[in-house]
Amino acid sequence: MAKLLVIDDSNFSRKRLIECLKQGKHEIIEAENGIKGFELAQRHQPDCILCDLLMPEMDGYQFLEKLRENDINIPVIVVTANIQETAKQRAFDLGAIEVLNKSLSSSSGLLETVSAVIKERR
Amino acid sequence: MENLTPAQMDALAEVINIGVGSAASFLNDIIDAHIALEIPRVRLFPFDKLPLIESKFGEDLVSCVVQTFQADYTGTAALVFPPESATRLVSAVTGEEITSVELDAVRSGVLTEIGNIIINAILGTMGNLLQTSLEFSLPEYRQMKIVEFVSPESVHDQDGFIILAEASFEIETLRISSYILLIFELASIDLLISMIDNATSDVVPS
Repeated sequence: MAKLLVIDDSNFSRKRLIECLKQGKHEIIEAENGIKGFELAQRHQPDCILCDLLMPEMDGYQFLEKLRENDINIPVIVVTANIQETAKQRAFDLGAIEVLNKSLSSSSGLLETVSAVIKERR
Repeated sequence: MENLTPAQMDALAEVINIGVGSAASFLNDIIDAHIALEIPRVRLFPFDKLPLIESKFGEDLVSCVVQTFQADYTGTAALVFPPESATRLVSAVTGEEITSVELDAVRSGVLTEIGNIIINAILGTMGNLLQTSLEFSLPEYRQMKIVEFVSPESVHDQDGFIILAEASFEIETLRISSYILLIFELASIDLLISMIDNATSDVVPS
């Protein structure tokens, strides 16, 4: 079991992701934007963070930058509706270790990705 | 630039078709039911033909998810549903029976996220195929008359264009209609078409 932080401004998408992640028996904490997500990341030191890109207050790119500025090395999987290659590349450049498409993030693919990331981290 | 060539229109329609297909895949995933798609019908209107769009929707209220986008070309995208379709879609996604066409904050949030994913699927496909990068605003849910959305007062560039794509999909016996409105400023539509030309110039007709 791992501790995961889910950051997405959409309650619908957050619940959907959490429902899927619970199948892996993980402990999950959640935030609706990058600012709250950053606070929770510092406080709880999750094993992995799943983060949207387009959010109010602090978006996913700014969140990735903030982690980098503060030397917080928690793996971040971006889960976004933005399917543009340029968005994906920018997220990778800012330190994301995987970028998944919300429209295609089926439960098995998501869980496998999270498991692989956690295994790598340990 | 009122009339696109058949090849340009075909390219534009295909981009939207790919985006709608991606959106259907998403809906299929969350509803776990087959989504029957019709090929989207795509038309381009200059703003002075706005009455044609207004008359299509009349004075009825529509449920919209609206997002602006900008990069090499700028504009506004709206996913428009007749309110009954919006309610049926949210009902199908959440598994709740919804009797009112008025969506509360939680349910409009569900529709907003679905709209966000569908609009991103379409415009993201466009960005990828045309090798440009779009920045999106946060999606907003609105229930209003279509005339309020596309009124001359609401559009910055009075010489701009509206791309109207009618996409309907069917979830089992539940018929849901939706429309995709893309509003481009004049300079943007010229650039968009020029990018479509570049992207399709190497394609050899079969």
